[in-house]
Amino acid sequence: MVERRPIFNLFCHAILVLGIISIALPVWIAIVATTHENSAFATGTPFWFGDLGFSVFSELLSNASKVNNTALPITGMLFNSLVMALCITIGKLTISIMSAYAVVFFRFPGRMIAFWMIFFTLMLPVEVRIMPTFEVITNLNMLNSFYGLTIPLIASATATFLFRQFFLTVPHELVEAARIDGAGPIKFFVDILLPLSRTNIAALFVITFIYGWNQYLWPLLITTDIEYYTIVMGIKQMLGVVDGVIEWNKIMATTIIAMLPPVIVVIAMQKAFVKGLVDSEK
Amino acid sequence: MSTLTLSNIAKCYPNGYQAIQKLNLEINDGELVVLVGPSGCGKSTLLRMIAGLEEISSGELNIDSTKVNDLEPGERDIAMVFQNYALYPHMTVYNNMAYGLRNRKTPKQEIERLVNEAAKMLELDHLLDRKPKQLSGGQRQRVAMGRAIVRQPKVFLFDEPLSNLDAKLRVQMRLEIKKLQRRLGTTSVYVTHDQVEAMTLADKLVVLNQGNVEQVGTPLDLYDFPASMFVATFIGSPSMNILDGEVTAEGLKLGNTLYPLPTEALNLGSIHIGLRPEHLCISQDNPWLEVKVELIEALGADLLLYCTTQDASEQKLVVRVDGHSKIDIGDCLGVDIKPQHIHLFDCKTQKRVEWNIDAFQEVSNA
Repeated sequence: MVERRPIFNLFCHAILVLGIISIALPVWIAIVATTHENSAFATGTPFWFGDLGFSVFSELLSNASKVNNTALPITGMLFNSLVMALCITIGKLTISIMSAYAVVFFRFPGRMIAFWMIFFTLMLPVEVRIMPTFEVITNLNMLNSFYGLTIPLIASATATFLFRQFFLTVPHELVEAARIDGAGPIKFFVDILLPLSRTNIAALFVITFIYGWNQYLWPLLITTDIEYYTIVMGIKQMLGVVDGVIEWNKIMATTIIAMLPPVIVVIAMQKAFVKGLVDSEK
Repeated sequence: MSTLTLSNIAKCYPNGYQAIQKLNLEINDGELVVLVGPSGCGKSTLLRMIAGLEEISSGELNIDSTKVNDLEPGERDIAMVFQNYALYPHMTVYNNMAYGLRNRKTPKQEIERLVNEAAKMLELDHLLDRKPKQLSGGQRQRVAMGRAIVRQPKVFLFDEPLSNLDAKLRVQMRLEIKKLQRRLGTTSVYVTHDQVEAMTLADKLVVLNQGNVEQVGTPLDLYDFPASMFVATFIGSPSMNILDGEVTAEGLKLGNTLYPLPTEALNLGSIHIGLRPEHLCISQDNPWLEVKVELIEALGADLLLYCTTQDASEQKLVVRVDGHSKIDIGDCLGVDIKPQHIHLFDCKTQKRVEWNIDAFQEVSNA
């Protein structure tokens, strides 16, 4: 649809500007807040930079264990979040690409049953089955461990389903050509299917990494030991000061730091995305 | 150097559909055999069974004297060229050709030598670093052939390899395939639905119909002596005219016109008469048939006249004449044919009916 009227253009731009403001304003406030003394928040929310520069960040990182006098080391929490997100991402991708390979390229009894059972778990995200899952993890003695943090979140129907849809578009002749070229199932998977799935892997990596990074409810439930706190739940803990002043500038700085890894992943993978989209030919 | 023997090969799908019925075929060393037939006749299924991509329900398949029924495609020492090329999109031309050799643990220098040799032969040497999507259709086709050649297999299998190319390129590639096959001397099986391709390429032509072999022979054999009406109409373009006629004591009767012919050897009664458009000629003096031109297709070199016979039966007939003949729609023409060009087919079995041409010629010469 091509509209050439200036009023319509104005309208489109207005909508876009509104969208940008609603998304960017909170981020802007968070960035601005890191440059103010904590006392500045008593009188309202500042909208322009204060005079502290990066000192809040440096203080936060050098004196890592002191936010609101709660002993939460930021670097430790970042590390926990990173390990959790990466384990979930890599685990998910590995398991789902292999199960999709089995479901699409092999004929075995119970193939469709297996597929539909995987598919049904789409309707049962962690939040729905949280009590039984917690019970299982407790019985397996996985509380306060990375196993408990990651394993229940690894099982995923979404990724399996997406890989299956992609594999179905791989031309059958390619499989046959590989068979004639003497490539067995594993060789075909490694030499041909994996390189072809590059784009999909990149896309799912971004999605699952952010999913893993943003986990809040499950880590909150499974960890009581401060050693295993993730950054997302850490931020919440910082707000829970019984008596004393909430250090908004430090909390905002922590939020900004917590935002960075997903942003980096998106930017890094975007290149692979675009390249994959341009290259995508089967 | 190898032969391929199919004995009693059959393919039955789980739903009971019989795609190939008890088929016997002997393919000699270095021969290019073309399997041809309309779509759904089982030609591709047969090729895929030879390749090992499709299971053989019963019968025995031998390459040289080894039974290969239960071998994986990779173990049969065959190479296949697919209709849509099936090149690995993420690999360069070089890697596409080298992949099969690498899987067979060929030494690196040997791979390099073989690939470069094949690339030179196919004029691909300047494209070895390209990806398939950077190539034109004809070049992709050549890479697909290169991938087959480097392996130096016992048998080449071609599955309609030219049908994705435009008409001009198809003719060119057809010649190249023929030249290449001659040069390498590798036993080849080629599947196509295009009868021109089949005629030009084949050493031996196999016409398939509904999973059965209709006829096996050289292209000219099939053109001159089609064993059945199916082969007769399938081979040759435009296809043979089949008219309903009758055998009488005096000769062949078509409507109310008579073609005098010794018919002692034939059963009296109705019969199908096959006349090739290119064998019919326009004749002024005492022609066999009177026809009326209803439609003209000008092909440049030839004119195709779509006619109706001017007798009681009013049958359709195509006549091919010189491209510059002065003929208009609605003209009435006399059409004749030499006796040796008349094909007769039984009405019930649709098989060829042999009749003695020599005897006829003796009679007419006397």
